[in-house]
Amino acid sequence: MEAGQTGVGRQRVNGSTASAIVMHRIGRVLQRNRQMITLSLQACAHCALCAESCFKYVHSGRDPRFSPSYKAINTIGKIFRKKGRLSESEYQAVSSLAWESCALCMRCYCPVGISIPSLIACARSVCRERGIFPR
Amino acid sequence: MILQIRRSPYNTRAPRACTLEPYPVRKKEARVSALERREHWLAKPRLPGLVFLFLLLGMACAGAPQTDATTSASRAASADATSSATKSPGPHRAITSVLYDAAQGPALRLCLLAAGLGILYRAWQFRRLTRALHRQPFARSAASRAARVPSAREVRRAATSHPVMKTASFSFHLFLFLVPLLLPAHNLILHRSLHVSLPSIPSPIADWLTMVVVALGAFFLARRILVPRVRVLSTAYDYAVLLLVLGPFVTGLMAYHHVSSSPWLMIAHVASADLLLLAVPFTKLGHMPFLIFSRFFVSGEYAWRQGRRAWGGSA
Repeated sequence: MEAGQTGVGRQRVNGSTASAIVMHRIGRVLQRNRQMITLSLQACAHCALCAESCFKYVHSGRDPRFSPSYKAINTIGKIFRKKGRLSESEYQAVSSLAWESCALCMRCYCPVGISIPSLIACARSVCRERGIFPR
Repeated sequence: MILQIRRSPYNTRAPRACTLEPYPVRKKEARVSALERREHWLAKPRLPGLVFLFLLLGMACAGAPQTDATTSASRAASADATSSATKSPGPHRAITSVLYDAAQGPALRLCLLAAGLGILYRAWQFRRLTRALHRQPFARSAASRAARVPSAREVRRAATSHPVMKTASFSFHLFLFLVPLLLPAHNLILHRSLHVSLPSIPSPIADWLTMVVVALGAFFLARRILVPRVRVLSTAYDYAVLLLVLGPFVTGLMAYHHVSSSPWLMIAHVASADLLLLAVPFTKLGHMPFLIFSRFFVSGEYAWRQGRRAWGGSA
Protein backbone atom coordinates (compact mmCIF):
# COMPACT_ATOMS: atom_id res chain seq x y z
CA MET A 1 0.00 0.00 0.00
CA GLU A 2 1.22 3.47 -0.85
CA ALA A 3 2.12 5.80 1.97
CA GLY A 4 -0.04 8.53 0.51
CA GLN A 5 -3.09 6.26 0.52
CA THR A 6 -2.86 5.54 4.21
CA GLY A 7 -3.07 9.18 5.10
CA VAL A 8 0.13 9.01 7.14
CA GLY A 9 1.56 12.23 5.79
CA ARG A 10 3.22 13.76 2.84
CA GLN A 11 6.68 12.39 3.56
CA ARG A 12 7.53 9.05 2.04
CA VAL A 13 7.76 6.20 4.47
CA ASN A 14 8.50 2.62 3.65
CA GLY A 15 5.69 0.06 3.47
CA SER A 16 6.25 -1.72 6.78
CA THR A 17 6.33 1.51 8.80
CA ALA A 18 3.19 2.73 7.08
CA SER A 19 1.33 -0.52 7.74
CA ALA A 20 2.48 -0.49 11.37
CA ILE A 21 1.09 3.02 11.78
CA VAL A 22 -2.16 1.95 10.12
CA MET A 23 -2.46 -1.07 12.40
CA HIS A 24 -1.82 1.16 15.38
CA ARG A 25 -4.60 3.51 14.29
CA ILE A 26 -7.01 0.63 13.64
CA GLY A 27 -6.16 -0.75 17.06
CA ARG A 28 -6.94 2.63 18.58
CA VAL A 29 -10.36 2.75 16.91
CA LEU A 30 -11.14 -0.78 18.10
CA GLN A 31 -9.89 -0.05 21.61
CA ARG A 32 -12.00 3.08 21.85
CA ASN A 33 -15.15 1.17 20.92
CA ARG A 34 -14.23 -2.14 22.50
CA GLN A 35 -16.94 -2.25 25.17
CA MET A 36 -19.67 -1.12 22.78
CA ILE A 37 -18.67 -3.75 20.22
CA THR A 38 -18.39 -6.62 22.69
CA LEU A 39 -21.65 -5.80 24.45
CA SER A 40 -23.54 -5.39 21.17
CA LEU A 41 -22.14 -8.47 19.46
CA GLN A 42 -22.70 -10.52 22.59
CA ALA A 43 -26.31 -9.41 22.96
CA CYS A 44 -27.17 -10.11 19.31
CA ALA A 45 -29.47 -13.14 19.30
CA HIS A 46 -28.97 -13.71 15.54
CA CYS A 47 -32.74 -13.66 15.14
CA ALA A 48 -32.67 -11.71 11.82
CA LEU A 49 -35.80 -9.78 12.78
CA CYS A 50 -33.98 -6.58 11.86
CA ALA A 51 -33.94 -7.61 8.20
CA GLU A 52 -37.48 -6.51 7.44
CA SER A 53 -36.78 -2.97 8.61
CA CYS A 54 -33.89 -2.45 6.16
CA PHE A 55 -34.93 -0.92 2.85
CA LYS A 56 -31.79 -2.28 1.17
CA TYR A 57 -32.83 -5.79 2.20
CA VAL A 58 -36.44 -5.38 1.14
CA HIS A 59 -35.58 -3.87 -2.24
CA SER A 60 -32.79 -6.27 -3.14
CA GLY A 61 -35.06 -9.26 -3.54
CA ARG A 62 -34.61 -10.19 0.13
CA ASP A 63 -30.97 -11.02 -0.28
CA PRO A 64 -29.84 -12.21 3.18
CA ARG A 65 -26.50 -10.40 2.73
CA PHE A 66 -28.33 -7.09 3.05
CA SER A 67 -29.85 -7.79 6.45
CA PRO A 68 -28.46 -5.35 9.04
CA SER A 69 -27.25 -8.04 11.43
CA TYR A 70 -25.35 -9.78 8.63
CA LYS A 71 -23.70 -6.48 7.73
CA ALA A 72 -22.73 -5.72 11.34
CA ILE A 73 -21.44 -9.22 12.10
CA ASN A 74 -19.47 -9.51 8.88
CA THR A 75 -17.88 -6.08 9.11
CA ILE A 76 -17.04 -5.04 12.65
CA GLY A 77 -17.49 -8.53 14.08
CA LYS A 78 -14.93 -9.94 11.68
CA ILE A 79 -12.54 -7.03 12.15
CA PHE A 80 -12.82 -7.18 15.93
CA ARG A 81 -12.30 -10.94 16.12
CA LYS A 82 -9.11 -10.71 14.07
CA LYS A 83 -8.01 -7.45 15.74
CA GLY A 84 -7.91 -5.68 12.39
CA ARG A 85 -5.48 -8.16 10.81
CA LEU A 86 -7.56 -8.99 7.75
CA SER A 87 -6.23 -9.74 4.31
CA GLU A 88 -6.68 -7.27 1.48
CA SER A 89 -9.54 -9.26 -0.10
CA GLU A 90 -11.29 -9.54 3.25
CA TYR A 91 -10.98 -5.78 3.70
CA GLN A 92 -12.48 -5.29 0.25
CA ALA A 93 -15.46 -7.47 1.22
CA VAL A 94 -15.84 -5.62 4.52
CA SER A 95 -15.69 -2.22 2.87
CA SER A 96 -18.23 -3.15 0.20
CA LEU A 97 -20.58 -4.22 3.02
CA ALA A 98 -19.91 -1.18 5.17
CA TRP A 99 -19.91 1.48 2.44
CA GLU A 100 -22.17 0.13 -0.30
CA SER A 101 -24.65 -2.25 1.33
CA CYS A 102 -25.56 0.16 4.11
CA ALA A 103 -26.76 3.73 3.77
CA LEU A 104 -26.52 4.44 7.52
CA CYS A 105 -30.10 5.69 7.36
CA MET A 106 -30.61 4.49 10.95
CA ARG A 107 -34.01 3.02 10.23
CA CYS A 108 -33.12 -0.54 11.23
CA TYR A 109 -35.13 -1.86 14.13
CA CYS A 110 -33.41 -4.33 16.44
CA PRO A 111 -35.91 -5.93 18.83
CA VAL A 112 -33.19 -6.22 21.46
CA GLY A 113 -32.12 -2.60 21.05
CA ILE A 114 -28.62 -2.95 19.62
CA SER A 115 -27.45 0.16 17.82
CA ILE A 116 -26.56 -1.45 14.50
CA PRO A 117 -25.64 1.86 12.78
CA SER A 118 -23.01 2.53 15.46
CA LEU A 119 -21.41 -0.82 14.71
CA ILE A 120 -21.35 -0.21 10.96
CA ALA A 121 -20.05 3.33 11.50
CA CYS A 122 -17.25 1.84 13.57
CA ALA A 123 -16.42 -0.55 10.72
CA ARG A 124 -16.34 2.44 8.40
CA SER A 125 -13.85 4.20 10.69
CA VAL A 126 -11.59 1.16 10.54
CA CYS A 127 -11.86 1.10 6.75
CA ARG A 128 -11.08 4.80 6.65
CA GLU A 129 -7.96 4.29 8.75
CA ARG A 130 -6.99 1.54 6.35
CA GLY A 131 -7.43 3.94 3.46
CA ILE A 132 -10.48 2.25 1.96
CA PHE A 133 -13.28 4.71 1.38
CA PRO A 134 -15.29 6.00 -1.56
CA ARG A 135 -13.56 8.89 -3.28
CA MET B 1 -38.17 37.33 21.61
CA ILE B 2 -37.92 33.59 21.17
CA LEU B 3 -36.18 32.04 18.22
CA GLN B 4 -37.32 28.49 17.52
CA ILE B 5 -34.65 26.34 15.94
CA ARG B 6 -35.80 23.29 14.04
CA ARG B 7 -34.45 20.09 15.49
CA SER B 8 -32.93 17.26 13.55
CA PRO B 9 -34.72 13.95 14.21
CA TYR B 10 -31.42 12.25 14.95
CA ASN B 11 -29.90 14.87 17.19
CA THR B 12 -31.02 14.22 20.74
CA ARG B 13 -29.05 17.20 21.98
CA ALA B 14 -31.46 19.87 20.81
CA PRO B 15 -30.24 23.44 20.43
CA ARG B 16 -31.63 25.59 23.23
CA ALA B 17 -34.26 28.06 22.17
CA CYS B 18 -32.51 31.42 22.15
CA THR B 19 -34.08 33.88 24.52
CA LEU B 20 -33.14 37.34 25.60
CA GLU B 21 -33.75 36.42 29.22
CA PRO B 22 -30.82 35.95 31.59
CA TYR B 23 -29.36 32.51 32.14
CA PRO B 24 -30.69 31.36 35.58
CA VAL B 25 -34.12 30.52 34.12
CA ARG B 26 -32.73 27.11 33.25
CA LYS B 27 -32.68 25.82 36.83
CA LYS B 28 -36.37 26.49 37.28
CA GLU B 29 -37.12 24.74 34.01
CA ALA B 30 -35.19 21.72 35.12
CA ARG B 31 -37.20 21.49 38.34
CA VAL B 32 -40.48 21.70 36.46
CA SER B 33 -39.45 19.06 33.99
CA ALA B 34 -38.36 16.81 36.86
CA LEU B 35 -41.84 17.17 38.33
CA GLU B 36 -43.41 16.50 34.98
CA ARG B 37 -41.30 13.45 34.63
CA ARG B 38 -43.03 11.91 37.64
CA GLU B 39 -46.13 11.44 35.52
CA HIS B 40 -44.38 8.75 33.57
CA TRP B 41 -43.61 6.52 36.47
CA LEU B 42 -41.49 4.27 34.27
CA ALA B 43 -39.50 7.15 32.85
CA LYS B 44 -37.27 7.30 35.90
CA PRO B 45 -34.39 5.02 35.12
CA ARG B 46 -34.17 3.17 38.40
CA LEU B 47 -37.88 2.75 39.02
CA PRO B 48 -38.87 -0.21 36.81
CA GLY B 49 -36.28 -2.45 38.35
CA LEU B 50 -37.37 -1.49 41.86
CA VAL B 51 -41.03 -1.98 41.04
CA PHE B 52 -40.29 -5.38 39.57
CA LEU B 53 -38.28 -6.32 42.64
CA PHE B 54 -41.05 -5.19 45.00
CA LEU B 55 -43.63 -7.09 42.97
CA LEU B 56 -41.48 -10.19 43.14
CA LEU B 57 -40.95 -9.80 46.88
CA GLY B 58 -44.63 -9.10 47.41
CA MET B 59 -45.57 -12.19 45.48
CA ALA B 60 -43.06 -14.19 47.46
CA CYS B 61 -44.47 -12.98 50.76
CA ALA B 62 -48.15 -13.09 49.81
CA GLY B 63 -48.00 -16.37 47.96
CA ALA B 64 -49.55 -18.95 50.22
CA PRO B 65 -47.23 -21.89 50.85
CA GLN B 66 -48.25 -24.42 48.25
CA THR B 67 -47.56 -27.53 50.23
CA ASP B 68 -50.58 -29.39 48.92
CA ALA B 69 -49.37 -32.89 48.20
CA THR B 70 -51.83 -33.40 45.35
CA THR B 71 -50.53 -30.45 43.35
CA SER B 72 -46.87 -31.22 43.86
CA ALA B 73 -45.47 -32.58 40.66
CA SER B 74 -43.22 -35.51 40.11
CA ARG B 75 -40.07 -33.42 40.14
CA ALA B 76 -40.15 -33.15 43.91
CA ALA B 77 -41.44 -36.70 44.07
CA SER B 78 -38.58 -38.00 42.02
CA ALA B 79 -36.23 -35.92 44.13
CA ASP B 80 -37.64 -37.77 47.12
CA ALA B 81 -37.23 -40.99 45.20
CA THR B 82 -33.56 -40.34 44.61
CA SER B 83 -32.95 -39.35 48.21
CA SER B 84 -34.86 -42.38 49.52
CA ALA B 85 -33.00 -44.55 47.06
CA THR B 86 -29.78 -43.65 48.80
CA LYS B 87 -30.88 -45.60 51.86
CA SER B 88 -30.45 -48.86 49.98
CA PRO B 89 -26.79 -49.76 49.65
CA GLY B 90 -24.94 -49.48 46.35
CA PRO B 91 -22.14 -47.18 45.19
CA HIS B 92 -23.86 -46.28 41.88
CA ARG B 93 -26.94 -44.84 43.57
CA ALA B 94 -24.85 -43.02 46.12
CA ILE B 95 -22.98 -41.22 43.34
CA THR B 96 -26.21 -40.10 41.65
CA SER B 97 -27.59 -38.90 44.95
CA VAL B 98 -24.43 -36.94 45.73
CA LEU B 99 -24.44 -35.42 42.23
CA TYR B 100 -28.12 -34.51 42.48
CA ASP B 101 -27.66 -32.85 45.85
CA ALA B 102 -24.61 -30.97 44.61
CA ALA B 103 -26.38 -29.76 41.48
CA GLN B 104 -29.44 -28.71 43.43
CA GLY B 105 -27.59 -27.11 46.33
CA PRO B 106 -24.13 -25.56 46.12
CA ALA B 107 -23.83 -25.62 42.32
CA LEU B 108 -27.19 -23.90 41.92
CA ARG B 109 -26.24 -21.24 44.46
CA LEU B 110 -22.90 -20.71 42.76
CA CYS B 111 -24.51 -20.39 39.34
CA LEU B 112 -27.13 -17.98 40.65
CA LEU B 113 -24.39 -15.88 42.25
CA ALA B 114 -22.29 -15.91 39.07
CA ALA B 115 -25.32 -15.00 36.95
CA GLY B 116 -26.23 -12.16 39.31
CA LEU B 117 -22.70 -10.80 39.35
CA GLY B 118 -22.47 -11.15 35.57
CA ILE B 119 -25.68 -9.20 35.07
CA LEU B 120 -24.40 -6.53 37.48
CA TYR B 121 -21.20 -6.35 35.40
CA ARG B 122 -23.27 -5.93 32.25
CA ALA B 123 -25.27 -3.18 33.95
CA TRP B 124 -22.05 -1.41 34.89
CA GLN B 125 -20.79 -1.78 31.33
CA PHE B 126 -24.06 -0.37 30.02
CA ARG B 127 -23.82 2.57 32.43
CA ARG B 128 -20.32 3.34 31.21
CA LEU B 129 -21.39 3.17 27.58
CA THR B 130 -24.25 5.61 28.04
CA ARG B 131 -24.50 9.10 29.41
CA ALA B 132 -27.28 10.84 31.26
CA LEU B 133 -29.53 12.97 29.11
CA HIS B 134 -30.42 16.21 30.85
CA ARG B 135 -32.26 17.62 27.90
CA GLN B 136 -35.69 16.39 26.94
CA PRO B 137 -35.66 12.91 25.45
CA PHE B 138 -36.19 12.04 21.83
CA ALA B 139 -39.16 13.61 20.11
CA ARG B 140 -40.00 13.63 16.44
CA SER B 141 -39.79 17.06 14.94
CA ALA B 142 -42.55 18.59 12.87
CA ALA B 143 -40.18 18.52 9.88
CA SER B 144 -39.62 14.78 10.01
CA ARG B 145 -43.35 14.21 10.45
CA ALA B 146 -44.06 16.36 7.41
CA ALA B 147 -41.38 14.56 5.36
CA ARG B 148 -43.31 11.28 5.67
CA VAL B 149 -40.48 9.41 7.28
CA PRO B 150 -42.00 6.14 8.55
CA SER B 151 -42.69 6.46 12.25
CA ALA B 152 -41.12 4.20 14.83
CA ARG B 153 -44.38 2.35 15.23
CA GLU B 154 -44.63 1.79 11.50
CA VAL B 155 -41.08 0.48 11.31
CA ARG B 156 -41.61 -1.73 14.33
CA ARG B 157 -44.82 -3.07 12.86
CA ALA B 158 -43.07 -3.77 9.57
CA ALA B 159 -40.17 -5.44 11.33
CA THR B 160 -42.28 -7.72 13.46
CA SER B 161 -45.29 -7.76 11.23
CA HIS B 162 -45.41 -11.48 10.74
CA PRO B 163 -48.19 -12.57 13.12
CA VAL B 164 -46.76 -16.07 13.55
CA MET B 165 -43.27 -14.86 14.43
CA LYS B 166 -44.60 -12.18 16.76
CA THR B 167 -46.85 -14.57 18.67
CA ALA B 168 -44.24 -17.33 18.74
CA SER B 169 -41.47 -15.10 20.05
CA PHE B 170 -43.64 -13.41 22.65
CA SER B 171 -45.17 -16.60 24.05
CA PHE B 172 -41.84 -18.43 24.00
CA HIS B 173 -40.15 -15.75 26.10
CA LEU B 174 -43.15 -15.34 28.40
CA PHE B 175 -43.50 -19.03 29.22
CA LEU B 176 -39.74 -19.44 29.42
CA PHE B 177 -39.85 -17.23 32.51
CA LEU B 178 -43.27 -18.02 33.90
CA VAL B 179 -43.25 -21.84 33.83
CA PRO B 180 -40.14 -22.41 35.97
CA LEU B 181 -41.12 -19.64 38.39
CA LEU B 182 -44.74 -20.73 38.84
CA LEU B 183 -44.25 -24.50 38.75
CA PRO B 184 -45.69 -26.11 41.91
CA ALA B 185 -42.77 -28.50 42.32
CA HIS B 186 -40.19 -25.71 42.17
CA ASN B 187 -42.16 -23.67 44.65
CA LEU B 188 -42.39 -26.66 46.93
CA ILE B 189 -38.61 -27.01 46.93
CA LEU B 190 -38.30 -23.27 47.49
CA HIS B 191 -40.71 -23.41 50.39
CA ARG B 192 -38.92 -26.33 51.99
CA SER B 193 -35.52 -24.71 51.82
CA LEU B 194 -36.22 -20.98 52.26
CA HIS B 195 -39.83 -20.93 53.57
CA VAL B 196 -40.86 -18.57 50.76
CA SER B 197 -42.69 -19.39 47.58
CA LEU B 198 -44.28 -17.75 44.58
CA PRO B 199 -47.89 -18.40 43.62
CA SER B 200 -48.06 -21.50 41.49
CA ILE B 201 -50.18 -22.74 38.61
CA PRO B 202 -51.71 -26.23 38.45
CA SER B 203 -49.34 -28.92 37.27
CA PRO B 204 -51.31 -29.98 34.15
CA ILE B 205 -51.30 -26.40 32.88
CA ALA B 206 -47.58 -26.12 33.57
CA ASP B 207 -47.14 -29.37 31.67
CA TRP B 208 -48.98 -27.99 28.65
CA LEU B 209 -47.06 -24.71 28.76
CA THR B 210 -43.78 -26.62 28.91
CA MET B 211 -44.85 -28.51 25.81
CA VAL B 212 -45.62 -25.16 24.17
CA VAL B 213 -42.12 -23.90 25.03
CA VAL B 214 -40.50 -27.03 23.59
CA ALA B 215 -42.65 -26.83 20.45
CA LEU B 216 -41.75 -23.17 19.94
CA GLY B 217 -38.09 -24.03 20.48
CA ALA B 218 -38.43 -26.61 17.72
CA PHE B 219 -40.06 -23.92 15.59
CA PHE B 220 -37.08 -21.60 16.14
CA LEU B 221 -34.72 -24.43 15.32
CA ALA B 222 -36.59 -25.11 12.08
CA ARG B 223 -36.59 -21.39 11.26
CA ARG B 224 -32.85 -21.26 11.83
CA ILE B 225 -32.37 -24.09 9.38
CA LEU B 226 -34.94 -23.15 6.75
CA VAL B 227 -35.09 -19.35 6.51
CA PRO B 228 -32.12 -18.00 4.50
CA ARG B 229 -31.66 -14.72 6.35
CA VAL B 230 -31.40 -16.57 9.67
CA ARG B 231 -29.31 -19.38 8.21
CA VAL B 232 -26.54 -17.03 7.07
CA LEU B 233 -26.17 -15.80 10.63
CA SER B 234 -26.31 -19.21 12.31
CA THR B 235 -23.26 -20.96 13.64
CA ALA B 236 -22.83 -24.01 15.86
CA TYR B 237 -22.91 -21.63 18.82
CA ASP B 238 -26.48 -20.55 18.00
CA TYR B 239 -27.72 -24.13 17.84
CA ALA B 240 -25.87 -24.97 21.07
CA VAL B 241 -27.47 -22.07 22.94
CA LEU B 242 -30.94 -22.95 21.67
CA LEU B 243 -30.47 -26.55 22.79
CA LEU B 244 -29.14 -25.34 26.13
CA VAL B 245 -32.31 -23.30 26.64
CA LEU B 246 -34.50 -26.27 25.74
CA GLY B 247 -32.49 -28.70 27.89
CA PRO B 248 -34.17 -28.13 31.28
CA PHE B 249 -37.61 -28.07 29.66
CA VAL B 250 -37.17 -31.31 27.76
CA THR B 251 -35.68 -33.14 30.75
CA GLY B 252 -38.35 -31.73 33.04
CA LEU B 253 -41.06 -32.89 30.68
CA MET B 254 -39.49 -36.34 30.48
CA ALA B 255 -39.29 -36.56 34.27
CA TYR B 256 -42.90 -35.42 34.67
CA HIS B 257 -44.14 -38.09 32.26
CA HIS B 258 -41.92 -40.78 33.81
CA VAL B 259 -40.19 -41.52 30.53
CA SER B 260 -37.27 -42.95 32.40
CA SER B 261 -36.84 -43.92 36.04
CA SER B 262 -33.11 -43.25 35.92
CA PRO B 263 -31.88 -40.74 38.51
CA TRP B 264 -29.59 -39.32 35.82
CA LEU B 265 -32.63 -37.65 34.25
CA MET B 266 -33.15 -35.42 37.28
CA ILE B 267 -29.42 -34.76 37.47
CA ALA B 268 -29.47 -33.70 33.81
CA HIS B 269 -32.49 -31.49 34.51
CA VAL B 270 -30.89 -29.65 37.42
CA ALA B 271 -27.42 -29.48 35.87
CA SER B 272 -28.72 -28.08 32.58
CA ALA B 273 -30.73 -25.50 34.51
CA ASP B 274 -27.54 -24.54 36.39
CA LEU B 275 -25.68 -24.18 33.10
CA LEU B 276 -28.50 -22.12 31.64
CA LEU B 277 -28.43 -19.70 34.57
CA LEU B 278 -24.67 -19.43 34.29
CA ALA B 279 -24.90 -18.78 30.54
CA VAL B 280 -27.28 -15.81 30.81
CA PRO B 281 -24.75 -12.99 31.27
CA PHE B 282 -21.91 -14.53 29.28
CA THR B 283 -23.47 -15.81 26.06
CA LYS B 284 -25.95 -14.36 23.60
CA LEU B 285 -28.63 -15.00 26.21
CA GLY B 286 -27.25 -11.70 27.49
CA HIS B 287 -29.88 -10.12 25.27
CA MET B 288 -32.20 -10.58 28.25
CA PRO B 289 -30.56 -7.94 30.50
CA PHE B 290 -29.44 -5.94 27.46
CA LEU B 291 -33.02 -5.57 26.22
CA ILE B 292 -34.09 -4.11 29.55
CA PHE B 293 -31.17 -1.68 29.63
CA SER B 294 -31.44 -0.47 26.08
CA ARG B 295 -35.16 -0.43 25.47
CA PHE B 296 -36.17 1.07 28.81
CA PHE B 297 -33.32 3.41 29.69
CA VAL B 298 -31.98 4.72 26.38
CA SER B 299 -33.93 7.54 24.85
CA GLY B 300 -34.69 7.03 21.19
CA GLU B 301 -37.22 6.63 18.49
CA TYR B 302 -37.70 2.92 19.09
CA ALA B 303 -37.52 3.00 22.89
CA TRP B 304 -40.37 1.38 24.78
CA ARG B 305 -40.26 3.95 27.54
CA GLN B 306 -38.95 7.49 27.61
CA GLY B 307 -35.43 6.78 28.72
CA ARG B 308 -33.12 9.36 30.21
CA ARG B 309 -29.85 8.11 28.79
CA ALA B 310 -28.11 8.13 25.41
CA TRP B 311 -25.39 6.00 23.91
CA GLY B 312 -21.91 7.43 23.82
CA GLY B 313 -20.65 7.42 27.36
CA SER B 314 -17.08 7.25 28.60
CA ALA B 315 -15.97 3.84 27.46
